[in-house]
Amino acid sequence: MRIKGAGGKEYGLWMMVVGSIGGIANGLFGYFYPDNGIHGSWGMLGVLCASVLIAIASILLAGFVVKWLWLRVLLLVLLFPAIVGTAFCSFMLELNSLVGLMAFALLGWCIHIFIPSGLFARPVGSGSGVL
Amino acid sequence: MKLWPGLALAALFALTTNQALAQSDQPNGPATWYTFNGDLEAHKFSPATQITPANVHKLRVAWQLHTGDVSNGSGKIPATVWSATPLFVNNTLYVSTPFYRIFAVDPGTGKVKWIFNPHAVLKALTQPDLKTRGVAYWQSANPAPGQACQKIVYLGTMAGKLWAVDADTGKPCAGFGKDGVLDVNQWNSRSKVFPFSLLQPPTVYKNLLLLGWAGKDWADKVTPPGHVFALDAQTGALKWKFQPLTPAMEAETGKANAWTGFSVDPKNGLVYIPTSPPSPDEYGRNRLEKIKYGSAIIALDADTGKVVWSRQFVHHGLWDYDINAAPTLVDLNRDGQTIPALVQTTKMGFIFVLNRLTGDPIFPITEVKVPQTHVPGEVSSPTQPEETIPEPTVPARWPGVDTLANVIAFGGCGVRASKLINDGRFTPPSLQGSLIFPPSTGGIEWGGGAVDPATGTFVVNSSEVAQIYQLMTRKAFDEKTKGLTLPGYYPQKGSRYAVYLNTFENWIGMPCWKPPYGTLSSYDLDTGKLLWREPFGEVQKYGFYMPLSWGSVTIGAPAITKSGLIFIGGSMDSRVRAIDLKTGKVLWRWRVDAPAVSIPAVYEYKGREYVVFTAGGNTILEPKVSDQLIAFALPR
Repeated sequence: MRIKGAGGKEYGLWMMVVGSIGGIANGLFGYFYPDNGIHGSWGMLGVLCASVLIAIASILLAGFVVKWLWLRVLLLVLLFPAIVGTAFCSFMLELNSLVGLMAFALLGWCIHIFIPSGLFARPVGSGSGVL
Repeated sequence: MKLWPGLALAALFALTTNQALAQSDQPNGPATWYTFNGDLEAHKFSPATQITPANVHKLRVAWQLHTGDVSNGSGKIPATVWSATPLFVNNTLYVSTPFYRIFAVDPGTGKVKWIFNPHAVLKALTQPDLKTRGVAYWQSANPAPGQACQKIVYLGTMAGKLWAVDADTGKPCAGFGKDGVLDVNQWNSRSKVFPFSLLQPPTVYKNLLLLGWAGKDWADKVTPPGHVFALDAQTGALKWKFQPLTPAMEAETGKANAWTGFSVDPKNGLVYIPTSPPSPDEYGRNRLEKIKYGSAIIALDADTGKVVWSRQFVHHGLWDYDINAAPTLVDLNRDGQTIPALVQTTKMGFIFVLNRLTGDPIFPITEVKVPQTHVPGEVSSPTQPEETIPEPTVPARWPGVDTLANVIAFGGCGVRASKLINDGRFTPPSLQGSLIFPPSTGGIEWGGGAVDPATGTFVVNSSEVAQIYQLMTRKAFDEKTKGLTLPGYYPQKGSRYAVYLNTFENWIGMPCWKPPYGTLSSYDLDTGKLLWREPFGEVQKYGFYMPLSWGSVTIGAPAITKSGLIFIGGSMDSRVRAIDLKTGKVLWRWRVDAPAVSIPAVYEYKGREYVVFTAGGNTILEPKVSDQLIAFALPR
């Protein structure tokens, strides 16, 4: 089943986009800034890469580039452990700002999942506009 | 702060150097840090009171200096280990670097006054890394006006050269040794095995330099014997020598050397020498007779070098349990009596408290039956000395396999542990492989503890580490190493067995034993009671900080202040901390460039209190090194 975009109603997805892009900025700072105790570390690199992947997935979802329902569900399922894991790793890196950004992204994920119009809005060909 | 205010105080010059220095260390007076351990008694205590538990959270960087003398070992120069305590004396901060240069620094600004560069050989001759623990300072009791070298800074090198330079100019003192340098290896009867490495600064007492040296562990059966030298502070002439081994023993073994700092009781003219075990470290077939000065504390008459008393803390050492820290000398109050005490920390985690005039225990020391060896040719000691008051910093038995580490290792930690021998403290090395807890890394390391001499509160950091000790037949060793130098494999050449030493970790480098990995403890020495013990520091791996309850392995030691603060670096997370002496609570912390594996110095200069750390790192802890000298003070 293919679905089409819900535009401005996808607040949750856009929150994830904002959180993850903020995460990338934070990750770049954490990885390259020399006086923070974690720069150049494998842990920081991992968090940076995870933030990039979360951002890509969120943008794909929010921009409705991915229209296959199964793929959207898969991405959303994968995003949960990715966000939680990145937040936990950021906590272990004592990078509290990134923890906050991931919490913001997780809030977006929850909004998207638990507010009915968010997740499966107006699927193409459903006729009713609601799955 | 002026130690020597002028000729008007000429009467003071009649005092000995130590007496003069000690005067400046009195409460309410200017606070100096004139030896590696702060003072001759190894108190690591400052009478400074400006920084307090109430305002320490305001502490900020006053200045910092990068010496440029750092190597991560990736090039031709070995990695650097910088454990120097900066000295504050003569209105100047003096510190040596792992490239064996001396920096004289303005204590208020960090501006370099002068640099002395002896162009030392930068080769890891006895240690895997380039190391220094700092410089020593002497000044004449009767300074000749206008003459150089009335105040001298001493620097040792890994190659056994002892330099003396003028404290005001940084120029070599021509009258010392030959043109300012003394080759201590002239007294090394086995210099082909290894040179005397002068990593620990000499101890200065009156006009004497008391000098030990470091060697190479696990490499040879017969090594240089651990002579201690007393030299004339101005000329370098040998005044006396202490020999821990008899000539017959020297033919069969070696070392029992004193590579760490010494303490001095100026009132009674005694110097206290902590020694290592004889060689080789992990197999003792060649040294079965009693060698009472190995792994011992020895009280010598500082003027003559004669033994006044000694006490051995490890019989027939098989674990490389060096007595590795200068003992702390403090007067205790017990039952209304003042007792002159000596507090000796150890790698085993024991804290032995003795009468420093007689060597008799103040708290009981008992000979306890210990596990026996089954290695052919070896005869282990049936008993070892142990104490229970003060409570040892390390538990009697190893803490067992950590569940998380074991899960990550797919059960590998548990399987390996089941194949290793561990029968508690003093489990000897074996051919099968023994799990040693604590191993030669400690327990308590070379920094020892710090004491508030007024209250008898004693603070010490300690590590909890498990290592595998496995003896190997010569054939098995040769087959394994094929003539190469492999990490963890040591030849003990000339001995029947080589040895394999490795930390008990899983495949990601996580300790297989249960945390904590490091603690900080506080004791009331008058009663021997443990006041508090807290996990200290944080483990940092791949950038991740592990839980506070795990603590961190530490290298270095605390300094404490009269105002009730503990300052300490030493942990893996490259942070320095201020801790409430009463509660053990962390009140302030600051990130520095690398683990501050050193003892901080606390001093007052122009009415301002400073705490200064060398943050140089040690590759044993973390592959992170630096050349940062960093001073903290309250905002003006």
